[in-house]
Amino acid sequence: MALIVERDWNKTMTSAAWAIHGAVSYTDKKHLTLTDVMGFTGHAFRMNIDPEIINIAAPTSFPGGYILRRNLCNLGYISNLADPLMPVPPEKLERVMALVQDSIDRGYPAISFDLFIPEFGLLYGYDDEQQLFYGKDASKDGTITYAKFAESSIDLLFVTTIGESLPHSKYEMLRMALDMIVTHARGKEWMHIFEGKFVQGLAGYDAWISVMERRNADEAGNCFNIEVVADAREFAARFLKEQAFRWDGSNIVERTVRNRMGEAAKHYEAVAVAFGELREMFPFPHGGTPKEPEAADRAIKLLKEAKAAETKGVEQLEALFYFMKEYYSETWIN
Amino acid sequence: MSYGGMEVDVLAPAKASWIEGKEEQAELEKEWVTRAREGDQEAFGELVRMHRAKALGIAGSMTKDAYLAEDIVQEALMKAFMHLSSLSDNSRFAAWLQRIVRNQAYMKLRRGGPYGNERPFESFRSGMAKQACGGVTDPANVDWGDMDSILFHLAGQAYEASIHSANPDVFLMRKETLEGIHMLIRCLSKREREIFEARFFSELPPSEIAAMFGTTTAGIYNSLSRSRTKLQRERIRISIGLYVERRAALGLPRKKILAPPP
Repeated sequence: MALIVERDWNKTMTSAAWAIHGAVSYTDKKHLTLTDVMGFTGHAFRMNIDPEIINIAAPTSFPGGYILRRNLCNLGYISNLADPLMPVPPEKLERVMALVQDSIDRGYPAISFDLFIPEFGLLYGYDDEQQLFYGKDASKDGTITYAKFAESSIDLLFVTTIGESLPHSKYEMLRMALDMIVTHARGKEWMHIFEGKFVQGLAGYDAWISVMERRNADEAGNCFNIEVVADAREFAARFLKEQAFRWDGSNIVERTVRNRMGEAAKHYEAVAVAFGELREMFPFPHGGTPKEPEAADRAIKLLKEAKAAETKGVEQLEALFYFMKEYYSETWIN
Repeated sequence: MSYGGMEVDVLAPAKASWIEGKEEQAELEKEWVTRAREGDQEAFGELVRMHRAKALGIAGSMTKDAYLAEDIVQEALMKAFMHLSSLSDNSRFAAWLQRIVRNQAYMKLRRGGPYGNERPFESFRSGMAKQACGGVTDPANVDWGDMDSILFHLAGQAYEASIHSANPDVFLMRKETLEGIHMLIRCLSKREREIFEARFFSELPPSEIAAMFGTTTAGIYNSLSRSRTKLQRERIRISIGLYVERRAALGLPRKKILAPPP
């Protein structure tokens, strides 16, 4: 089996995790790496698939307010949310702007959506004289006028901010992360307005395979989804390996975490390798020829391999999750 | 709502006198208002004592600035004293004063302080102030072909009604809505504005408007939809302007830029 090539671990295709990590880096938890954030927020383990054509919008089509606040909660933060429907009435706009400005005044950038491209980004400055926000996302570091900010291109004006950073034990963090990972993998995550439109977790593989069998994959959507999942699973494998190394094996819990996470890491590595091959077949952004029978059939084979590996990985994490539910102490000498 | 211990329900002022033990005080207040209207400064002093704390509370919660609140209440009380004659119902003094305090606070916040250079919609506002003192524009002087003039007249009417009616909130809201529309339609082109007026005032069906303007119903729908978008944008633009001014008035930071994210 080919190993994952060394890569830049400070970049990710999952903008939600990028934005969270960016915000976290301004707080007392700045020691958390992007790998930690990808893992503890569960973003490294997500798969949200459009069952029609593998639509390009699927990876970010989740209830952002719910997921991002739960992510921040996992990492030990009290958070705030604004998501008024568009067109936003002036009094609500003012409150959203005040939320952003208050966060920046406290030294934390605000997480928002579609600053320059339709992905999550950070607002890290404001200027009332010029009526400008300073923002950064994967595409650009620049300014956005207050008026432009008010004209959100999605159907709500989305902002999440960090309220307060709380001490959080490693048990808490891992258990909450596993909860999110397992819930998503088993297709039990709350989808809100996206319910029924996308297929999440392990079932996403079946949806993807079915689209390939119907030779109906959208070129751009298919290769973008591959990019996102490939990137995520590389982080997943790395996260699991790091955790298996960090837990020291000094008691039954520590040893169980090491064993389970070490086992899961191997399976997720296999997933990442399969997606690496898919990525070569369908390079972003043109995406190759996913509708052609030969390419589609080979993709199906790789997706099946990935699914088999990920299923084993999820089983390990699931078992660990139920085990972890019983333990709470930061240190346990036995 | 409670003003200095006296109960006043804006929606049903008569209710206040039903409340046991309050009746006497309400009567006393009415008496003071009557005497103050006749020029009795001592009676006005009693009214001030009764309502000052509540007025300060309102101004303070709006401006978050104790000194500014003092100024506002002082000016509001002067205004109230000078224009006491325009109060038709002597039992409604508290609600009336409260409205003056609010208006005064809004003006201060919008101007960005007492000597703020920027006074948006200057002519309209000073006109409104004149009306507050002198009453409604004479309908004979209204140019019914001109949107500005009509809205100006309607807003004045609503304001008067708010003072004299038993249900002033509804009228004040109407006045504020009309003022809002007046500000907003400035962003429309001449033709868009004409179409918008036809729809807004005459409530003409789009087919008739289309005939009037020599275009199709689809054209009218397009124009109305474009106007709505423009109006929403303008509404947002204005409210952002006011928001920024208010932040300045409250002494909040004007600018803060953190180090760019990694």
